[in-house]
Amino acid sequence: MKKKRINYNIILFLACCIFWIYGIKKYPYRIGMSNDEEDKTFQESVSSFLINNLQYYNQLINLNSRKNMLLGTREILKDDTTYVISDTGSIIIERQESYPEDFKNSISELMELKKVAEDANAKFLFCLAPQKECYETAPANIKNYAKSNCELYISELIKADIPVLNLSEELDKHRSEFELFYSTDHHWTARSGFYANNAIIKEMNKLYGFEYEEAAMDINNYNIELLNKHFLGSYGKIIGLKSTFKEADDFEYITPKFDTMLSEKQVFKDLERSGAFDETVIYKGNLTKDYYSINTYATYSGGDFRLQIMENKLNPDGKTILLIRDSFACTVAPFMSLQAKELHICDVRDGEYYVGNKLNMKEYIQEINPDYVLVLYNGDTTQLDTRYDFFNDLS
Amino acid sequence: MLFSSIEFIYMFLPAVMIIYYLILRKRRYFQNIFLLIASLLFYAWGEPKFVLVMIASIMINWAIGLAVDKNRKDKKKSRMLIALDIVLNLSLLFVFKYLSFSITIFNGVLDTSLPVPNIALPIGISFFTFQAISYILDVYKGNSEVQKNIFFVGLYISFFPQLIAGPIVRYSTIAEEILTRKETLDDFLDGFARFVVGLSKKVLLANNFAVLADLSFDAVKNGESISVMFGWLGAISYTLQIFFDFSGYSDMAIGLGRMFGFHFMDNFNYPYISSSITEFWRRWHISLGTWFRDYVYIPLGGSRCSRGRNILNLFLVWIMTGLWHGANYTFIFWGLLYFLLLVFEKLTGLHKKSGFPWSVLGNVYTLFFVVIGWVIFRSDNISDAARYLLAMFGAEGNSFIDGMFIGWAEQNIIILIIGVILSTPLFRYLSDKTKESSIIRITKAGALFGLFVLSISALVSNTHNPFIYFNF
Repeated sequence: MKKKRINYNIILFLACCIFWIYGIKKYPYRIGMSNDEEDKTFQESVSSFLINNLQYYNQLINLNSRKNMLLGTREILKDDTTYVISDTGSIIIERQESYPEDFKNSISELMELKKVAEDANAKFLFCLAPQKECYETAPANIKNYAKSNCELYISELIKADIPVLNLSEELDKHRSEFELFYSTDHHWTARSGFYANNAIIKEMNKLYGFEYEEAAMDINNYNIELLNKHFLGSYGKIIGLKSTFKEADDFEYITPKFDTMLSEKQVFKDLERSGAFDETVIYKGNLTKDYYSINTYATYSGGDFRLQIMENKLNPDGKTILLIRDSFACTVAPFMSLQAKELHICDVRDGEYYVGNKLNMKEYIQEINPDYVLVLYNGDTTQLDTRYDFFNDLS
Repeated sequence: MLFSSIEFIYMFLPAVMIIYYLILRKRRYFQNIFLLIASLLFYAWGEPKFVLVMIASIMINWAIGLAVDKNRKDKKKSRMLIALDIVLNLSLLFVFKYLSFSITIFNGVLDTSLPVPNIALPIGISFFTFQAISYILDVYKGNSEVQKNIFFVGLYISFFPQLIAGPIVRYSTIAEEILTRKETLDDFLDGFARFVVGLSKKVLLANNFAVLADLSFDAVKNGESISVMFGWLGAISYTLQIFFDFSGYSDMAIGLGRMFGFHFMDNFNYPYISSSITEFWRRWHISLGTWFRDYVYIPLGGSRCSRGRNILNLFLVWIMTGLWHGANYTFIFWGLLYFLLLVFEKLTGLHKKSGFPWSVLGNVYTLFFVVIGWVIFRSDNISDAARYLLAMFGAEGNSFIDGMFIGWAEQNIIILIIGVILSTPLFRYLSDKTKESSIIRITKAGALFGLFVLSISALVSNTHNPFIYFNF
């Protein structure tokens, strides 16, 4: 009798069944996880729901990134953004060329803000944080205009008579000392934020005679705990942990050795904390190592809020600073709070995750009468950039 | 809904299989009704309004099929009914696919300004109207019995495995299987394996080649200059993309059909190893080629007529083949290119030459024109196609090599080599040689599982997953 041949595709089928069952067994299911759920069709929502609730979602992202790395893929197109692995193994994005007209709107808003500040007797300074792409080399086939865009923006700001501090000049001094930017994130490192704050303070001193505490600007007066391969940044979360040989970033947890007493208030959430540096302006919960669920970068300042007030109880005669910011200020604000009496941090960007309405900067400046109005933004700007919606009149 | 989507793999297919095999087990009638409903839902997922067009097509073709069968003995009447059916089906196709294009040509030629309607094209309309025509003609010719049950006609026309991207299944192929098919474990498992192969081809290969192809063609479309080498890289990438995308979809369709006991014909047979254009069209999109051969070319007289008439027949078939792919001059030019090459081969007997060195030279000649043809096919218009082709030959004053080529070639060299190897029958040859080895067969199953997981990871990562059949 002829022996029936075993069809070994049964192994394939059963393995896929087990894979499928394991994938869908995650419960409870999370619904409406992303900010743009409202823009999705029903079909897209179903697809998004299925994908986001797969048990092994993160592992699949990692697997795909490893596959890309092994194949030598250095550009990954995802959601209309091209993520690129630079020559140093850092993840960047393609930066198209900007033109002077791209900055027209933002400069116009800055000029108005400067006038409002000066009318309220506040000193004004615009601080431009460089983009990561200014320091990275993309493959030959990728356009990277980050550096030239930054230089163009600076020249346009100067033409408009806006006091500007180019923070890339400060970072350039430290290029060989430490990593300026995280490999897997678009932000600068905590140490970069520390030195950026030093540069801002010194510039305020140079321009306006701002008095500062020298000791708080010396890195040797801080404890630095290095957490190895601790942080998977925004870019890494999108394209996967294994996209580069570096995988996750090391993370420096910097806290003062000297005594501190601060309070930190999240006005719209009605939350207030008082205590030392690491009990107020630091959010230790974000230090937990979880590549995909936690944003460790937000250990400093806690993230992005409509209005956050940091008060330095040990500097009652200090100045009041209004800092209008984007997320690059997360690693700057905690150290800046040590140089001020009060640091009011405002975020005017659009976004559904913010609690509370956007503040009108004119009204707020008139309300708190700051001594200084600072704007800290990174160099990425477009015509419809809501970061420049200082007066709630851009839509 | 696409086969290469999480909702299909994790939701639709498991639900259909569970209901089909567990709940409706051994109830063939209800299984068929269920497959019809599932197919309509599958189509409605992506085209909620156009599913009514599909249902209308089913009803019309079913009714005409019955009428043709009833009037079989009255040749005049039955021919009129067939003509009516063809006119109705082609009218449907014309309105949705060719009306805007025709009005544009009309305006251009006669210098009028008739409004050009913006009509959305129902996905898969070219496939299901051709299947519907095939049904009527097979019934008329007596190749198959007429199907009196409207649901089963509907199942044939709308069956989800081959609905949106083929293969074009002849009614005579599956007429008996509608009621008397036998689902076997081997068919199910082999069908599933084939589905996984197709999914991998589409997601892991075609989608990667698409990134490169889109870059080069978009650059030309945007008026940018591309180097000679980048032009060739983009063209070759598209050549590989369309093969793995289309053959991958066919593999998935054939595999899915087999899982439900249906046996569709193969649609691709390693076309890029062809040593003549004639051979290429016996290996590429076989279901379309044979459809035109059996329903257009042969009824017109085929090659059993004068040379002049034969050339005319070829001309008509290739204009129609081009137009079938889309309403654009590029598709017409693409079709005409193949017409000229096939006539050339017919006149010179080139396609009959075999052995070394003809097989190698023939392969180079075939691939050269196939790649040129794909450039025309892929371009948005004739002007872009011309510019792209000129760039490929350095006739635009463009550089020979540039950073774009170097960067993209460096990063894609591995996937390009894999693509070239897999477009040959090497793996099939090795598979045939080792089919008796259990270890090899187990390893193959394991490797396919690995490819399945990699494909899912690519889909979940939401990387580039284009659907290129929107013109069809």
